[in-house]
Amino acid sequence: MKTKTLVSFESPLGPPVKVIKQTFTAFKNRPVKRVSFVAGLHGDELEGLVLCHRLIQALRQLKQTQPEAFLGDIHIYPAANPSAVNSATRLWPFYSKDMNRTFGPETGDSVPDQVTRTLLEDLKAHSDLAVDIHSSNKHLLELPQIRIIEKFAGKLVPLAEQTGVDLIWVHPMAGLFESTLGYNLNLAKIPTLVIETGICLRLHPQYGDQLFRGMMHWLTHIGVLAIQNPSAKYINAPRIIYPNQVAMATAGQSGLFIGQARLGSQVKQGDKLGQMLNPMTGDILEEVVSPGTGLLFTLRQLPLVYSGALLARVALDREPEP
Amino acid sequence: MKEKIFSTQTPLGETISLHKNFWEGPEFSKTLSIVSGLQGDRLNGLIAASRLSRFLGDIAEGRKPEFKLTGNIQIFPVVNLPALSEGSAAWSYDNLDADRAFPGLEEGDLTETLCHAVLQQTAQSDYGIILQTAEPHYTDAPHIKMVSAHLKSLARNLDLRVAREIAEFPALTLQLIKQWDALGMAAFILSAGTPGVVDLPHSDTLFESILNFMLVTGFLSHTHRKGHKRELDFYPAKNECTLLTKYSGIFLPKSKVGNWMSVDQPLGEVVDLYSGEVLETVTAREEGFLVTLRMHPLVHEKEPVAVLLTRKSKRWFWPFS
Repeated sequence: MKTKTLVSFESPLGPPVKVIKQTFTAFKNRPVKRVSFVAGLHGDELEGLVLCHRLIQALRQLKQTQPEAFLGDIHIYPAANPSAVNSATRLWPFYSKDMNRTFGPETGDSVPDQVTRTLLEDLKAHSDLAVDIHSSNKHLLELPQIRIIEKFAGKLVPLAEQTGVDLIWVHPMAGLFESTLGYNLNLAKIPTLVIETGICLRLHPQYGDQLFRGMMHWLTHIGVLAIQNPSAKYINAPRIIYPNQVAMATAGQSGLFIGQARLGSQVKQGDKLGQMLNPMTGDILEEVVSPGTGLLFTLRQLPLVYSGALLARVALDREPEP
Repeated sequence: MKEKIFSTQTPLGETISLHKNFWEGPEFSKTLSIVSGLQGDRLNGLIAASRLSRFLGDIAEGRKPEFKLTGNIQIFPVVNLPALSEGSAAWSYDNLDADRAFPGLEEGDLTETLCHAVLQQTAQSDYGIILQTAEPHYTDAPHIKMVSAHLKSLARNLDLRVAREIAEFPALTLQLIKQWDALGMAAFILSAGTPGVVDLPHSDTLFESILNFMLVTGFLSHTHRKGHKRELDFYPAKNECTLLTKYSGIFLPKSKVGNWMSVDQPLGEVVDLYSGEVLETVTAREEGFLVTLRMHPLVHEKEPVAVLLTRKSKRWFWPFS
């Protein structure tokens, strides 16, 4: 494994801000493919850090025992936003910048902007495929899923099908994606899978296991690793859903949401998902029910809710009638 | 003419509401929308909006008979209500910068719905003005920012000396000014001062700038005051020169925003936090207008500490007509 400091900024108070890249090179000089994994663009999304740790651990071991198994190069950036990781915050602290809203052809000159630019250039120069790993914000818990913007679906869905996630969600383009890493890499013709799993500041070992198995299988499937993968039989066949197959439950009133369903369960239309309570009066404001029949893949975790907020998403078994 | 445009309840059941002030001009007249408080710590605009509201209220009530309302004017003093009540740029509940959340959502999290409400209320306007300060840790000289360079002639009505073009970048689509621009509105940002700091002279400058705009553009008339189109230095985005530190340490400014800097003129010093020794003097690489200067002293190496607007190429000089 080669360790490279991609970018470093001396700080006035302590250690420098450094973005580190770990590289496993192909056994032969010419890699069949070059794959990059990026985690920690949001410093409070920890599932990606653990996945990177497990990949590095496994690949280091493989490099020692079976170096010829590496047919391609693998680059891992475990903490793309180190300042935010050290502070366990979504945003780059001090600047309050969301790093995953600063990618693109024209960026500024702040320290986060310079890191973003260097990271994007490095990924473009050294990747044929990429994976950007995220967790949800503090409000929602998500099943392991890959989100794909419609216009990239043709290329990305077949790749995503081999990752063992529960769900592939093909969704329309929106303005906010223009400044994300995933969009900009896909635009640069580097197919990039954006994983969303769990919730920030927490780890879900079962999701971590699922993603680790899935990524090792995927690396084998795309020909970057030549290994026997005994866990291949445990790889999920993800459910693929399109925009009209996502039904959302939102809060009709503000209050305390108490979830009463299990994420990942199959629910029927009208099944109870939880209750909205008024903590001041003891009243039950609302029984929250499933908006459709299908897989419950998003569930509210932060109980304090304002009217209109998202409470749950269901991947519908059948497309609704037009 | 305070009007509620959005209302919801907190989880504890208290009502929070977003308001605008609206003054209606004669039938078929144009509409000007003024927005401040996109972030909860941008206070100069808040003060200017409050003063404008009192001023326009006085006109509407006949307490300033020399003025007459000749257009529709609406003022949104605050957008991110929860952030303002926390005294922070963004609300801690979602950490979402409201000026990265447009067009918002009709049904969604609160910040998104507030943005949606403001955009819906302003979408039919002819002109839009957003009141801002510099980014956190910096200060701005009073100046105009615009997405569309073709508005520079209209910008002269704002009675400020300097205007600059906003460089295109992907997240700009999430900002109110870009949404307005896409709707065909003539949209400007007026920026002055520092987040979290009330600077009354800057607030006065913003007030006078908008008053002049309303007089020249036809939203107000006065018995003898006409307003004026001012000489304006317009700087394209490519003419901006950002000055970076070489070393990390404490940055001590040695100049002031609004100054015209000559080549090699000192802008500030970086000193070592522990020894106090001067590590470097940051100087102007080119001559130019010092529009933005670092206020927070702690700096990394390669950190931007100043922005100069330079005349690298053709200077867009707009004389009196």
